[in-house]
Amino acid sequence: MPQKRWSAAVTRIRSWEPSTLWIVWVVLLLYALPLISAFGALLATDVKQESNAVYVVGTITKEFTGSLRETFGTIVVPLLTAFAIKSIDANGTVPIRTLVIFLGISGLFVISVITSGVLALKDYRDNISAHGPEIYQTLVAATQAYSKELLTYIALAIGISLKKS
Amino acid sequence: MTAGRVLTVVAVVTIVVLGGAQAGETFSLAAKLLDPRSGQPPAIPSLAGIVADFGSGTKDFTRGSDGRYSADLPPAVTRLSVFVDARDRLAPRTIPLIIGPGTARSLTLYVVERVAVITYDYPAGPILWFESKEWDRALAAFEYAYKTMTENRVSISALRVQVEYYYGLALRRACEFLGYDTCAAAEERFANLRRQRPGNEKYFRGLSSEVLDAAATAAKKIKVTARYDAVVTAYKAGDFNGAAATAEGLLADADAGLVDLSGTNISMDRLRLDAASARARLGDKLMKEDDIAAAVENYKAAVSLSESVELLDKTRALKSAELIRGKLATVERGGV
Repeated sequence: MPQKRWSAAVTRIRSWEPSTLWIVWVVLLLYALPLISAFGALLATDVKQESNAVYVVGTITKEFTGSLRETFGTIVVPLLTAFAIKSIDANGTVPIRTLVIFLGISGLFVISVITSGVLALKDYRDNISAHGPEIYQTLVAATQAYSKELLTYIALAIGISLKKS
Repeated sequence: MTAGRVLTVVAVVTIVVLGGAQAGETFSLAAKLLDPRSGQPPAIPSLAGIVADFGSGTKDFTRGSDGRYSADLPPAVTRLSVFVDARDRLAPRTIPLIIGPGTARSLTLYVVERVAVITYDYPAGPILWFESKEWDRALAAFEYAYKTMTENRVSISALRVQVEYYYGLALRRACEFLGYDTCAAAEERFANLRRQRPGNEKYFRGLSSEVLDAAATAAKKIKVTARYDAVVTAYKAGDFNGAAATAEGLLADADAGLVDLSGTNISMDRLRLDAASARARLGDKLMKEDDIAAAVENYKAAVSLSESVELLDKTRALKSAELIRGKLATVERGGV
């Protein structure tokens, strides 16, 4: 029985033909990983006590914002614009793919805004700064950068999808 | 995460008490400013000066050519605050001192450099200093951390609890070993932690209510025993006036409810007996110096104190009073 299940699973994987949307999702996930981890850490961790999660997120975010973000920023935008978003006219219906990408980016934007707001709270500011002032500054700078970039992506997605083909 | 990254001790101020507070004498204090690295007086522009506040007035310390700061204070100063007026990158400090018999004759004061934020790695160094019995060094660091967190209205956290607890311990040790008037402040820190503990237990790692209560009780006891030690030290050193004055001061404070003798081995009667004995010995001393009027005053005070003993060794106290009354009668008849 187990052998049959395995072979069925392998067959399913081999016959799977993913769309380009999957690549977009993976790249978006990699791009937003520091933001998602910061958001998760802020929600799940009691920052009033010394927490390793805050140090880890701080380090990841610092590395990411320091050297990788610019590259990701230049990759994500072309991927979204060139491959993923279908063009429609003003009277047409929005294809589900375009809608999903738009909602995904909008969701990340909401997360970045919420994270910025939480970081601005006095309790979080004091207690994350207690882990290291540079960690707090890095997280604030990163979330602000995310908010701006994601807004740009949202504008681009709308602009490209509505262009006259 | 090293302690040195967030805290630098920039200067050591050494205060040497040059003279005791005998009646009619000027009380002199000298302060020497040293750089802990070079051992030489440093040129620190952010240290504006040192001021002694003795209640009825203030006195600036003047800096001598040898780097020492000195000031002459009025006689019979019993309490004073030494204010190290540090500015810019150094944090100012106020050190309350009790001057009396048994007070340490030499004090070393540390001045710490300001930091932007008190971080989780901050307490590591000061805790080491505390454990190596560098009381003032630890006190300076924890005092600065606590005040910074309080001024910035930092809400309760594991770090704030740790800083406040060690600040309390450092205050208590400074009171016990350095003669600082900080026991009440220590007690207040522990009481404050005790008040904040319900509902915030997760931030009090290893600090149960019992631990905090014991720390507060110890601070309360030390406040009394440190003053009583001064009575004993003065008596042994032949400073009967100092011993009597200290014992009477402690009595008055206990009577007014300012200090609590419960939990210590010191009772009101014990203090009365000690004060009476010191007054009687002072009377004897003054008789030898032909200061009859002052001797009579002290004998009368000794009789009054002995007769006021209520429970402890009352028979002995009354015998002692009778003996002193005999001396007094002899003096008043004109014989010596």
